[in-house]
Amino acid sequence: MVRAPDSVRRDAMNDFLYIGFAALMLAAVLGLARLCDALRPK
Amino acid sequence: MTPNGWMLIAFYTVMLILLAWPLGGFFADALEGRRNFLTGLLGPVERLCYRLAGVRPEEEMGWRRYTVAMLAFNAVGLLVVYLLQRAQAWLPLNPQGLGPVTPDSSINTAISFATNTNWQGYGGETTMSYLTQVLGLAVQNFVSAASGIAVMAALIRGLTRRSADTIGSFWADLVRSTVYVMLPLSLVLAVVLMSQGVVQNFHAYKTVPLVESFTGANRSVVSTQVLPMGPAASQIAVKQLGTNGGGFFNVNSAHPFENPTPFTNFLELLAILLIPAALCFTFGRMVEDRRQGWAVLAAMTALFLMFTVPVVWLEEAGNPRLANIAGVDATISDLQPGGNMEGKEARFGPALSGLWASATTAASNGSVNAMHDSFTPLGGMVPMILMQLGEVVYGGVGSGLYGMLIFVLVAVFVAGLMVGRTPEYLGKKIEAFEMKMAALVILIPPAMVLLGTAWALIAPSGRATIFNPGVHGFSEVLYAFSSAGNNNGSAFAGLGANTPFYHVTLGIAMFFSRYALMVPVLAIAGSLAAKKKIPSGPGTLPTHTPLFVVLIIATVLIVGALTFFPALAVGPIVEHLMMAGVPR
Repeated sequence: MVRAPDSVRRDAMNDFLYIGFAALMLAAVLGLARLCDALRPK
Repeated sequence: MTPNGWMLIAFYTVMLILLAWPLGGFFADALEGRRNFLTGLLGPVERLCYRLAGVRPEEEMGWRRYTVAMLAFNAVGLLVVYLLQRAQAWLPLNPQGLGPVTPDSSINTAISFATNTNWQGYGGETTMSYLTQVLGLAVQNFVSAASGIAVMAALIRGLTRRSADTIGSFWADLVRSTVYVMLPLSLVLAVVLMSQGVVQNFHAYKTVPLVESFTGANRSVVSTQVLPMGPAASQIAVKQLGTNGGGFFNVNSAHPFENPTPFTNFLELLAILLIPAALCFTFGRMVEDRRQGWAVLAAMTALFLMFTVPVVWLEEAGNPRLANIAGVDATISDLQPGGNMEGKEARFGPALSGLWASATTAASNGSVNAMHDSFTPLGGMVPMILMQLGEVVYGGVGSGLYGMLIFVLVAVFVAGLMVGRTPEYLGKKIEAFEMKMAALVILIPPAMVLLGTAWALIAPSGRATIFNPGVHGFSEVLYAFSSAGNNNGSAFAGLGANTPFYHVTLGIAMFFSRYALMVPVLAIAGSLAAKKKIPSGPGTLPTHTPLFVVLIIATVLIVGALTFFPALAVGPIVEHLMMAGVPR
């Protein structure tokens, strides 16, 4: 089996981490939207 | 200040308002889906966009749905820009054979362009393929601006609608502002820029012989130069109009292929503030009381002039320490621009550079035609303050007006407290919920700026790339986070920001300063739309008078000054005192 070079594997891991991090930030903003909605007088 | 400086500022401001006036009215018609002079030509394009996306423009959205649509659209854009950069080496339109952009730089750039910040940790001509520039960055220049306009339109509808559950359709706002305003204006400006010498092609970079060869650092004779090429004009037009600011080339609008003549310099300057100023007239039209639009525009213009005059004056005055050095002549004359010329183009001189610095930071544009790092300490502080005020002095496309309207709500609330009446704006009661949301909008950017600066100064990886020691190094870090934390994107330069640490921290600041602000703005829109309209009476505070304009200005200045004065005091203010020779 051909093994990918270390730099390629490291970059792929970083891609996964950075996109995951952006998704987490997006989730935090969506959470803020829920909080704003909860604060709204019904 | 020279007569040239005064005339330049006066001519620019008058031209800006004269052009913004008709554009604002047209923009209101386009946003509300009314027939306008471009409907016949661009109506089919608008309808095609809806058909391709499977969207019904007449389908209205509540604020939560509007928010989710806006966030989802921006998330997809962010992902596309990231993937394009990572895969550009294997994609077409890459005649220089540029490799993939690193993951940390890619995420920073993707967030930067999706959030309309356009902070650049990279040099365009050495990093990005033409495909990435055109399909990734230029597209985001359009749609990130349109996202800001959409949120602004939703807030205005919140103020105008009565007992309504909806604030418009995000998709319709996005498409209309792109198709009817951004695209035609960008096309016209791009063609004019090309006529002046801005490059627009897909050629490989050209190696040309120098007029006069010289001996390089390693004693080799340099007789050729590489000229970068690319589809620059189309991107520069929208980068200025959409208050994006991300340069096609590394030195941005100081590059002769981006900004070749005095005419392009003035046109690009006008383009920076044109749409944000026009949106004040759009606001007046949409709320059916043009005086309200004029009041907001007056507050913005007064603030703009309040900061522009000093920066031009300071740069023309130059550095007093140089006057004591024999052989240095910094006087302004017919033979030389004079003043503080370090980091400035000889073509532009201190007045045009100062005016650009003020306009680009008053708007959330961030393009530069001079290096702000080399401005006099107080001259460099002015752009910093303009960003720290929250990008509301004209501000970003859409985001400037909704930011300013939040300050207006705070001003109305404060005035209500002072006179003991229930605060109301345009017939809508301003209550605790709106104030809580407004507080969030006002507090998030300073939190990003000040906490981010503190983090960079504490962390070894943040300090490692501060190349200027002492107070100037501090100013560079403060400027970087002020820029990212207010979605401006200009750089003081000097700071080594092309590192994983700054890519991530500035990325966080840009992301939350954009989206975590839009959420409470849309929540206010939803809350106001649901309220009844109260007819104005003798106790109603008029919000179109000069007195109210002064109140808006005071609110903006007090919030900005109180929040950032301590940080400015240990940066540019100390640096100015050192330059002026005040003993420690």
